[in-house]
Amino acid sequence: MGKVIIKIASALVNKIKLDLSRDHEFALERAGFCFGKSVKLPNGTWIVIINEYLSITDDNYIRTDQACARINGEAIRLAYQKAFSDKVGLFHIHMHELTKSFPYFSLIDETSIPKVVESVQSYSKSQVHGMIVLSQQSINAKVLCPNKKKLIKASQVSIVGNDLQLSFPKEKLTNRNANRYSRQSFLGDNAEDLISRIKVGIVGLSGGGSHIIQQLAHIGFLKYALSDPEKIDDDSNLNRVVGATLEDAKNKVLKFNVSKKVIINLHPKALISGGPKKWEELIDDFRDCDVIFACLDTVIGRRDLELFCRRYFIPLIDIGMGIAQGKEETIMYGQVQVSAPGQPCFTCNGFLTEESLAIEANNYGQKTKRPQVVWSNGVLASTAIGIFIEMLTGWTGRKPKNYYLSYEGHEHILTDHINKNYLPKTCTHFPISESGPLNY
Amino acid sequence: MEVNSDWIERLRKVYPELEVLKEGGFSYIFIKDLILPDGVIPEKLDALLCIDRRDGYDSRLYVSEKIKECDPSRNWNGNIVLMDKNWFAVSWKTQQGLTYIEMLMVHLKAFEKWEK
Repeated sequence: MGKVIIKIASALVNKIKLDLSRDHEFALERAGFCFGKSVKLPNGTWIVIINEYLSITDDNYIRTDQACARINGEAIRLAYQKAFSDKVGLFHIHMHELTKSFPYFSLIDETSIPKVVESVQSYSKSQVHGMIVLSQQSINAKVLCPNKKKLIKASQVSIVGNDLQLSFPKEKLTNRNANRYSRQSFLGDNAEDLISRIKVGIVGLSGGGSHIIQQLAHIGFLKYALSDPEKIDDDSNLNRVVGATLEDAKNKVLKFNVSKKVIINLHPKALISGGPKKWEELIDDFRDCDVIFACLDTVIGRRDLELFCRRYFIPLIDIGMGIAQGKEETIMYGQVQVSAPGQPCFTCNGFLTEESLAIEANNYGQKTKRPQVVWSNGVLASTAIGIFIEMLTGWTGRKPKNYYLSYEGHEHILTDHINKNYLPKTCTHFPISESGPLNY
Repeated sequence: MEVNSDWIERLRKVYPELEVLKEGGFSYIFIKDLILPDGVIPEKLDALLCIDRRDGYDSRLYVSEKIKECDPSRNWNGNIVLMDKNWFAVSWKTQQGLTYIEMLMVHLKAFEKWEK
């Protein structure tokens, strides 16, 4: 049995928590139904994207002495109907409000909810169904995969937004404390284990991507999806591709292999998927990533990768730089920006415009050697890694926030982009309900 | 842009199982087994018609595989990931103000059999 990874946007979790924490006339807790779309990857992993919620109305609760809440057949019928007509998976969800850490299903949960979940399988056979319980700060889930008779523990449940709250019901995180990572123990008790389980995607392994790879490997990441079809084709790559050598340039080594070498030299047992191809040819390797770094040359490339990431609730951290000749001075500019489910996207923040996309589309196929240097890529990549580690571990203790940083390399300044002042509160381009895999 | 439901219904008469899909603020019409002009290979394939202005094109037709036997000078863009699937497209412009059926007909002209 492969892994089952459930992903849910933090914006939707917040909405669910608000609904479930409302008082009821006699029920001591509330329940609801979530709906999700699932896909099975060639490696056997199921990805489930939870993208809708159905609240249960007050009159659909039944008085009982045996449980905190009991719902009637009408509430269940409505949920089944939606699962059947939309061909989606159904998840019973409730909350243990007084629990702060990882929530366990109670004995009553374990005996009553599976019946509701198992019955839906006859209406919607191709989807993963299940049951979810929330606590103040964590989440637990059990799943029923197609053609299976019993619910099992989900391998991973990810709440994704401006931060990543990851829970591992099957195998809890442990405090490992290896000496190798003792200098970064401030990241949290279980940070080392967490880092070792996360799958990171890097698209573009040249100037920016090579810095990202190097830092991720040093931090201790062990699972990667990499994409870059290009080779170290002449020694002009050597001014910025970290890890590339004179020998690599002479032998025209693939950038994918240079990155692989950097990782393997630090972690001989690292799992590296992807390959020397465009990411569009490797989408199965990227679907189960927990984060993707975009280190691309084009605006269209970033737009297309963002579409993919939004569908799979994968935070996308983008870096890029350029050099422009002004009248009197040379300007070095760049950006670090994050696109996460439920949060403003690259169109919301003004980075992507129809005009810039059209100009680039008109120049399709025209390749130019744009100026690139190692130090600016290093600044941007280090910042991107810092943002990601904060999203993952919450080590600063600050409230998670959206990032769109502007780089003025000629001034050695990295600040909030001016457009951040005008960001919409919610993204209209990527409604959460439109996400999830599509079964054609 | 709002999807024109009258135009959708007219296209549905030809392709009853079409689906209107949205992604990233753009609207698409998914057509399963779109029938291609005579003489090209394959005879039919899945297609995605973007009915909004995108990348400088007033509309765009994405197809599930490259089409053979049409004009070899067509400038194919490959492996575009849209709506969770890989697509191919050629650089082909349509004029503004067309209904969805008209849009589709204009796009299909790009794939007519190439007579040497």
